[in-house]
Amino acid sequence: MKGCILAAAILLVVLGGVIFNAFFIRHTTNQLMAWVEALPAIPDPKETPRDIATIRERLEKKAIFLGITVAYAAIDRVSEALISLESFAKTGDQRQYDVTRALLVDLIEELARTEKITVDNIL
Amino acid sequence: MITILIRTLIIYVSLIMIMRFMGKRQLGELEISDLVTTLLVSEIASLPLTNTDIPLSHAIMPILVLTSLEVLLSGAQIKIPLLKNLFAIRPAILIRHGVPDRAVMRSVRVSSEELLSQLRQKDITDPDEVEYAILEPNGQISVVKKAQEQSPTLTQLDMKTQERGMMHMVICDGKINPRNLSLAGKDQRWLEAYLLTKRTRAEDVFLLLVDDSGQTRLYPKEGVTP
Repeated sequence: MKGCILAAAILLVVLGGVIFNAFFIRHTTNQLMAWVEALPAIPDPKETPRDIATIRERLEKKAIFLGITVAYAAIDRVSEALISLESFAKTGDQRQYDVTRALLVDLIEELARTEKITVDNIL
Repeated sequence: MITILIRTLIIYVSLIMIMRFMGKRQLGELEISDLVTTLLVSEIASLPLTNTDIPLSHAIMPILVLTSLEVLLSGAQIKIPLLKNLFAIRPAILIRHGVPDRAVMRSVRVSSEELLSQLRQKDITDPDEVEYAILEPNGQISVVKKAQEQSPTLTQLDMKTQERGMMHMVICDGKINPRNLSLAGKDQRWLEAYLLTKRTRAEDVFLLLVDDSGQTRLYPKEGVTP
């Protein structure tokens, strides 16, 4: 009986952790998405790189907790896209800036996707 | 993580159902849920060991869920018989009163050769000697011999013997085990007196066994003769 109670307690703790983690990932990816979407469509060579650097710093702070449940490779891809976006904002390469920004949005959605309960994900 | 949790649950239930369908012969020593948990846990545990891209939590979480489910399921099966029918296999009587049951053997896919082989491993060459042969949920076949085929017991022969109980390992490789000493109903003073009578010390003893009736077996360490 003790074993069953312990097993039920472990199961509840794991379920709680999983639900908390789902909320944490969703919250973090929503924040990242909001920051990226707030970047100007036409980059300002002075202001925009600084904003992107701030986003990258914030991501790096969160990466410690994200890395507990999300593969570091996925977080690194977002970070690398931010570095590229920052350099294109500095040089003013509009086409590359647009492409990298779209890629960044995809990568953030990819981070959020793993925590969404969809048939596609489960299967 | 939430996807992994749902996938773990689906795979666990699916595997149990598959194993149940495969029947007892595939199991060996384990119950279905034990086997499924063992298979899955060993496989999951090895993933983050070889692939550092996979977070450790992706292995720890399913392992915790699987082992908790295993304990809960085995506990629930005792309380809820319906679950027992759903997840476990019932014993099947293969031989009843010396006659093999062909229908049961077919349903559990045990051939006559296999049954006779199992009986031979239990020193039985004639199925007529068997009162019951039961295929247990863990895949083993238990055999109950007919009364006239069984060896007579001391009670049947009306003979009396003294219960010796179990041998307790009081000293092992020169180290005294106080718990076993107390289980044997002895204390430190008895042990000291015993070793004195044998003209030895605990450090020189390889093995000292004491049973419930107080009988002892002393094995000295190599080269030491008490």
